Amino acid sequence: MKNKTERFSPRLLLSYAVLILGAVFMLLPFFWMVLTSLKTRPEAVKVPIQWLPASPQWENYKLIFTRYKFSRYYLNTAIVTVCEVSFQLLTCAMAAYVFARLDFPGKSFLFFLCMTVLMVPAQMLLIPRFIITMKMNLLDSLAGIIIPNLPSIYGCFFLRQHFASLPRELDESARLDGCGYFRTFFSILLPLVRNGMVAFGVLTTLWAWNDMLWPMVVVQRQRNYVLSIAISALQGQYSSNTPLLMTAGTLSMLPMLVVFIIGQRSLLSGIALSGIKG
Amino acid sequence: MARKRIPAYKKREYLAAYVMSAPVVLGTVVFFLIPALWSFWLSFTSGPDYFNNTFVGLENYRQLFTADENLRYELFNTFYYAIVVVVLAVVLGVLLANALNREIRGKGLFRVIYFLPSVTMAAAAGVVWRTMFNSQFGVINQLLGAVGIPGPKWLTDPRFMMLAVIIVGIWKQTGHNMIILLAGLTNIDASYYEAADIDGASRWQKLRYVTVPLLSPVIFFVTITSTLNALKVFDVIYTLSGSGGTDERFMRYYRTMVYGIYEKGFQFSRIGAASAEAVVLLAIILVITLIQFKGEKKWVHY
Repeated sequence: MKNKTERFSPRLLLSYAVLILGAVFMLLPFFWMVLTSLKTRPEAVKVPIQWLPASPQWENYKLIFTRYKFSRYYLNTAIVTVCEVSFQLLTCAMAAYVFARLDFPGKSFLFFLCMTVLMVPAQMLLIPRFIITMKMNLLDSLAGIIIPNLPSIYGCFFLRQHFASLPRELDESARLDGCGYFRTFFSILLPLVRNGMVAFGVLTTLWAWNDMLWPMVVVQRQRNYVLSIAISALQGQYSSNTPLLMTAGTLSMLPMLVVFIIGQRSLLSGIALSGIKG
Repeated sequence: MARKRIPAYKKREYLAAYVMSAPVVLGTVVFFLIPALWSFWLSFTSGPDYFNNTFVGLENYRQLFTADENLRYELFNTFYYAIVVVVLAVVLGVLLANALNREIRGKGLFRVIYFLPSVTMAAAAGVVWRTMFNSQFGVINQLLGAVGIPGPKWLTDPRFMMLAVIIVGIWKQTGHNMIILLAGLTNIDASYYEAADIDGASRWQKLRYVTVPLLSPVIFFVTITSTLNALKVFDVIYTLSGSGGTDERFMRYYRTMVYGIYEKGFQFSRIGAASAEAVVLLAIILVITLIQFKGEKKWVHY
């Protein structure tokens, strides 16, 4: 009965006002970025502000690929992302299944070990990881960006919750039907944690695509740049060419916005669950 | 006593467990555990390059705390950023989740819009915000000017430089918090509110005595994750400060601890010093997490 009256209450109007104001703040950078990317240089720095370009300039979107080699950086970023994500999805799901379901000597020790290490931020590990990558002869290569990022403890814990929430009867009936552990995992349980896999997949895609610090440490030559380093380098070199920078920004964000829009259902519910199950 | 024989079916289970967890466990050892222990060792050494290190005891730490004039800026900026961003991103997250937890049209759209900043590339976001904060043509000061507020020099006035970073931090973290808090809110059973209504509770009382206590585990979780994120901030700082093209006088108002670690380790090749700072950061993170977990017992209701 309360809901009907609430439809017209001032409190609901206040909620809308707050939400819309917040949404404008959240969206402002995107509008500014896309609009500015289509302006001429004088238009971009005009006072008072000129929101819309007199005629949209698509020139920068061409130049960014031809003169500034962004197709190369796109390809590099895509290679890095695909390798990291597919490997993480497979290995984390397997380990998550093991920690959720199987019993073996040393399980609690390994679990504790992973829990502890999870607390250590990767930023703290930059230097030793750099030395290890150097020893493996992988500096200044895409493999050097990818390999240290292959193991993901976070993913293992994230997916473990999803496996743990499946009824144990599934395993038992699979066992009775003569399925081994691998069969049980691949054909019975894995399809059922699809939502968790999509959520973690989207999440780790975002991290792999967006990461800057580690690639910056590993990579030297321009041909090995990923987009995050490329845009930062572009900023360092052409700091006054605002439309060009905004074009680069738009293009490097765009693929992840698409991934997010496609995967938002699973991602948002997966993120939401992470806080509730704790 | 004779050892118990392990039955064959158990052996199969162990084998499957070891094989399937091996990639993550080995990867964790090679790229997390060994580097973590190595960092400690390196922080007690000094050397001209990455391999010829000699043990110097606590010398790196002594230098870090006595001779490194950047450290106090890095500590100050890291804490200033973390405290303001965490508090505001959690409080705003609760407010927004509360506003959204009604019969709102376009709920799904709002959720997507608020989450967008957390999926964008931080490096690119820094580049975009830097142009927005430009004191002459930037959109922020033009909007402020339109309502009669003279905008500050966000990128060159020391009082406002970290504030600009904080605004970007709040922009990036709030929606993420909101999504988690909203799920917590929808999980609260309506009967609690009905009971409160019967007792004649005011709106404020319901928020204070029903919503916040029942939401406290989720608020706690969100506070922890926001804090860990905030203490590690780097990408945004790097591009918002102009990707290394900035004057050192300005840079000190931006530099955070991760920036300090990066600079020492990879621009000056001071491995020992960088590792010492990394250990200090880790200690700070552990202490804060510990305090939060202690505090959890006091105010989180399960």
